[in-house]
Parts: sequence; structure tokens; C-alpha cells
Amino acid sequence: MDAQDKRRELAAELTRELSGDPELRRDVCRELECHLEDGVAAARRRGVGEAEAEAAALEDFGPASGLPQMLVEGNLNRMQSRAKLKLLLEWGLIPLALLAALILGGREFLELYRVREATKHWYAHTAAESRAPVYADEAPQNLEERQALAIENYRSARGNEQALAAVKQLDPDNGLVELEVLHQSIRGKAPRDWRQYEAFMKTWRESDDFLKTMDELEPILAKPVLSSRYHTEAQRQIRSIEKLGLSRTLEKIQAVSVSAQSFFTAFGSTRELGNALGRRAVFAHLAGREDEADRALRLMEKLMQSLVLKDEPSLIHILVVSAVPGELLKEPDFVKLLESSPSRRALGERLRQVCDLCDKWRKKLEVERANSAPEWQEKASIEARMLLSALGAGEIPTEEILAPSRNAEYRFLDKWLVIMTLSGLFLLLAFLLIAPLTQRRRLGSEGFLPLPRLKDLCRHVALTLVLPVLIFELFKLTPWSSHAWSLPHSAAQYIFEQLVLWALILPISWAIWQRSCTKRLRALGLEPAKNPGFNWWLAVVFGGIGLLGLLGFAFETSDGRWLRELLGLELLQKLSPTPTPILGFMVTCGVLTLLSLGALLWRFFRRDGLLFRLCLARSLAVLLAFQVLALSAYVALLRAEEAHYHRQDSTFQADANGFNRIESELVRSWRDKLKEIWR
Amino acid sequence: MIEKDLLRSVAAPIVLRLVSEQAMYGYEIIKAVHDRTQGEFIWKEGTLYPLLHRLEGAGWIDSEWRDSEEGRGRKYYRITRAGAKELAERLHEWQGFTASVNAIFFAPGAKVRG
Repeated sequence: MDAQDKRRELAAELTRELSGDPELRRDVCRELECHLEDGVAAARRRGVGEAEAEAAALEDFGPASGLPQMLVEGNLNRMQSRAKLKLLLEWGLIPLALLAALILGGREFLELYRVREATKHWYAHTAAESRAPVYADEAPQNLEERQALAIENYRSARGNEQALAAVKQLDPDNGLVELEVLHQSIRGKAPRDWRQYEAFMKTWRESDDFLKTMDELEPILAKPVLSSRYHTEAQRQIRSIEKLGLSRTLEKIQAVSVSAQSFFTAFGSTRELGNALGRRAVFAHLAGREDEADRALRLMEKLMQSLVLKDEPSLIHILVVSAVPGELLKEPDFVKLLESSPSRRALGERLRQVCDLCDKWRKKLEVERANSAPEWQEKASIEARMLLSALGAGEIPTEEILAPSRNAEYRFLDKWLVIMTLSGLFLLLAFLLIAPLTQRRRLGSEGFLPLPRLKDLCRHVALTLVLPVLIFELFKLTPWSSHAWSLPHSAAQYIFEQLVLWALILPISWAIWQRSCTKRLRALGLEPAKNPGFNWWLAVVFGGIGLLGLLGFAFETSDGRWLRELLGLELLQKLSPTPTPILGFMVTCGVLTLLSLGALLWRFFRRDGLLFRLCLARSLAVLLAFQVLALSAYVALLRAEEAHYHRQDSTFQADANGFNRIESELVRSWRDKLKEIWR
Repeated sequence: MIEKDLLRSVAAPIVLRLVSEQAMYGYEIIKAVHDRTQGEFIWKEGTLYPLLHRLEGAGWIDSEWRDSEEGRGRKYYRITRAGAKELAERLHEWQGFTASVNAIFFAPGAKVRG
């Protein structure tokens, strides 16, 4: 038996009672090894030969009999507490973290999914790449959705006469789709810039097509309803969202987006048809066709009235209708036409009153814009852009009034970015749990948890996660933070800040933890393989999370269009079998994540240094569980804050019609004035 | 040669005293005891480790692996705050004990018959 064998035998004898604690067993063996090495070195210094020195070291150490029991007695409390801690961490903390992440983070995801489900048809027709079949068998039977999709299809030249007939049959009392189709038919023949008087004259001065257009317009305007059913659809969706009890921010965004969307159709039709009719009246008058001129003027006014008075209009309807006479009254020929008879003079008077309404608003707007625009710019939503134009006709919100709404939006964004990060951690944690389990048979009971003490773990999480987040929260109060800027202009900066925060915090936290655990493993005689690939996979997965953020940014924001084009994502999106960009984004990210995980598994399970990596993975899993738990709590906090600010926000809450209070007040006041003019 | 039982009873305070001066590894402690007692205290080296583990388990000493100058890893032990308190009590106890024993063993005028 050589010296090494004797050492091994002594170590085995010494640690035979410690098999339940692999870490302690390694610790004792390592210490014994070092002690014997010191003994041999001392003997060698005294001039003893190598074999004798080895024998002397073993003899000085003494017999192992009785020592195993003494070691167990000496370590009993520690072994028990370590076993409990291990049990607590691996079987308590990790499931708790996963549960918390599922309940707190998963809840948000579920909400988003449910909102998307509730509004998917609406999204489908607003998405530029919508492929929703409108007239196929699987077309939605819901009238409003059909109407919306029909208009969308006409706009993209996918509609046909059969489709129009189908819509007419479904909703015979509503002329909106026909109005839109009529508008599209004359628009195709009009000059590119329809506001150019000369160009318009050239095209429409004598055209018989326009007479046909007027013939078709007459019965459309006579229909009892001439409104966008988007509005009805918006009400239905808001009610369905309320039933689901979803977060108020999503409600608000939905409501605002829908109310904004509702103007798109009638916007172009009203303005362009109104102008075309007014100009045709001028040409007819100049050509001596007075009956035709009167008819065109009558239709023009009726078109304006129809959209404002027949149904409950949106703010933008009012603004657009009110803007029509302003453009015509700038043309001298049109002014002359309005002076040519008493009835036309009366019409001119009404048009001027409408025009004055707009002018007053514009003048007031110029003044108020200087005072209030910065406050308005704090709003991220399209709503702000809509309402900014209408300032002066109603209450002008101050920064103080807008603050809760703004804060709620920020918390909402915070929450989603934290959830994105949480998702990445979740995937990593799943991997760190599954990987050691699959290797248990290969390594037997060798794998252990190189855990520093619980207090060290808590201190580590506090210093590398909680403290930086607190500092970030303080940073938000500084003038350099995106929170102090106008949100519409700082969306990219905002996302960048958050990504930088997590990209810095998490890898640094892991690296520090990994370093202390590596030190511990090295002390126990485990060395990492020369090319372990461990850091690689961390980098790959974390890079993947960063990529998710960037892709999300590219797909979801208009600011990210350049990135979309740069990365060729437009092409990817077109090739994607999914109907909406967000789904394409999710699929793409899913594929990328799977690829990353595949590469990771391949590197991780290389035999060299596998035990080292598995031990490290187990300790990292514990850290990640702490981080998941902390972030889940953060999500809950942000959610509570968001709800708090929503309760305070009285300005931007949607009413039953899907409009917010300011918008409703403006519409009511302006509509009353228009009614007065047309009475 | 000192009685084994007597030696065992003072082993813990001796280790606490030594590691209170500076962090030491096992072999170093053995050598320090040997040198300071000029070979009077002879411990089987193996028995030191269960003692060290017991003291660590009691929270009186703390350990840390460090690299030595030779490049080998060594486990250094150092006293904790609780260990320092314990040591102070043991030293106080020892002083009282030796004073009492001395008062009996070496009482003035007392003669040992036999």
C-alpha cells in the first residue's frame, strides 16, 4: 500500500460517519490532506527522506479510531442546521419564489393575454399586416367587426361589390361604409394633393363622375345612422374588460385607443368630401349651373351635420367637421358664391359661425399651448395629442392634475419591464433546477450545495439587488431620469434605463455570488474546467433577455422602426405565420430562447468540471430564487402604486362611452354650439 | 508528561487562546502548543480536528480557507466574538481554579507526609 492509498484510507475512515453531508466530508478530507502535506514538508525540512516523512506525518496524526464519532459530535448541530437550511432553500424557497412569480408576474401576463383575446379583432383590423379574412366563412359574424374589417379591406383595395352588398344587407340603416367607399372612389381620381385648387378644378370641373357621386351621396346621408360603429365596438369592449376586472391602465389605454381609432374613417371622408362638394358648387356656379351648385352646397352642409348631430360623435369628428368651412372660406370664388343669393348668404353665415368657433379655438390654443403644452407632453397616450388640439374649449389640466395619470403610466411601464426581466429569471431558474436533476445519477451523491451562510445570502441580495433598485428609485427623482422628461420623447430612454439597470444588477450579482461560491468550491478541492463555458451560457441567456427587450422595443414602438429595419425584422414579421406583430415577436423570442437554451445545455453537460458546474448551478438557483421573490414583490408594489395613482386620477378615466372626462366635456360643449348654429 | 484528562480539560481554552492571537491553521496550532510548552503537551494531531470542529460548531471560532505561500490551501481558524467572551470566562475560571488548588497544594506550613 503506497502513501496515497494510506491517506485515502485514513480520509475514508475519518469521514465514514459524514456521508450525509458531502460538503463537510470534502471539507474534512481537504483539511486532512493539507495537514499531512504540512507534516511531510516539516519532516523533509528536518532532512528526512520522502517515504519516511510520509510515514512520520501519518504517525503523528495518530489513529483514526474514535475520531469519526468525535467529528460527528462536534458537527452535529451544524450538520442538522445545514440539512434544514438546504431543505428550506431547495424545497421551500425555490417553490415559494416560483409560486410568487406565477401569482404576481403570471397574473399580469394572464391579464395581457385576456385583454388581447378580448380585443383581438380590433387589433387585427388595425394591424397593417392584418390577414384576417373578412368575407371568408370564418369571417366574424359580429356586425361591428365586419363593418370595421370591410372598411379596412376597401382601403387596402381588397374589397369588392359583393362585400359592400353584404355589409349593406347586414346594417341597412347605417351609411358609414358606403360613405367611405364613395370617398375612396373619388379619392382615387382626385389629384394627389386635393387641397390644390387649380389641380382640383382640372379634375372635377366638369366631370360627370362627380354628379354620380352626388347621386349616391344623397341616399347615404338620408340614412338614419351615419356613424362609426367602432364607437359601439369600443363600448362593448370596455364593458367586457370591466367584467374581467382587469387593471385600470389597460382599460384606459384600450378606451383611449378605441376612441382615437374611431375617427380614422370619417376623418378623411368628411374633410375631403366636404371640400370636394364645396368646390364643385363653385365650378357649377361659374358654369351657370345654379341648381347643381345649390345641391352641392346642401349636400356639403348635410354631410357636416350628419356626422355631428345624427349620432354621438367623437371629439375629432367635431374638430374635422368644424374645420371644413375654414378651408373653403379661404377661396375667393367660394366666398363670392356664398354672396350670390339670400339662401347662400344664410349658409355662408352658418359656415362662418362654425369657422369662428374654430378660429377662437385656434387663437386660444396658441396662447395655451405655450403655457400648457409641456404638461400635456407628459402624457404618453395618443389621447394627449388628440386633446392638445382641443385646448381652450374646456378645462386646461395643470401639471398637478396630470401627475397621478402620469405616475400611473410610469408604474405601468415599470411593472411590465420588471415582468419581462422576471420571465428571463424564471427560465434561468428552471434550467438551473432541471440541469442538476438530470445529472444526479451520473454523479451519485457527490453534488452538494456550496452555500455560504443564510445571512450572507440575505446580505448579498440586499446589497446587489435591493440597494441598486432603491438607488434607481431615487434616480427617478433626478432631472437626468427619463421620468423627468416628456414620456413620448423618452420611451426609448426609459426602456434603455431599465434594461441597463437589470443588465448591470443581475450579472454583477451573479458574478459576485459565483466568485464566492467558486472560492468555496476551490477550497474543497474542486476546480473549474479550463474551458467551462459556464460564463458563456450566462452571457448567452442574459444576452437573450437583452435581445428580448430590444426586439420588444423594435416591434412595439414606432421609435423602434429603425431597429426593425436594421435587423430585417420586417421580413421576419412577414414570414411569421402569426397575424399580429406581437405574436410574431413572441414566436421569434421563443425560438431564440429555445436555441439559447439548447446551446446552453450542450455546453453545460460536458463532462469536464461538471461537478463544479452543478454545485455552482445549485447555489445560483438559490440566489435566483431570492431574486425572483424580490422582483415578484416589486411587481406587487408597483401594481399597488399603479392602482393608488389611478384612484387619484380623475382626468383620464374613461366614461361609459369610451371617452375620458375632458374629451366628453369638450364634445358636449362644442356639439351644443354647433347645434345652436344649425337650428 | 501531563495527565491526559487534565490535558483534555484545558485543550479548548488553549486553542481559543492561540487563535485569539492570530488566525491559525491546524498544523500551526499543534506546533505552537508544542513549542510554547517545550514539548510538555503532546497531542495526537488527529484529536485536534474534532475539537476545532466542536468549537466552530459552538460558534466560538470561525474558519476560512486561504491560499498559503506554498500555494496549498489551508483552513485558518480565528476566534469569534462569542469565543472571545468564552475565553475570558475560562481564563477567569482558570485563575480562580489554580489559585484555589495552589492554596491547598502549597499552603504555608503544610507538610506532605508519607
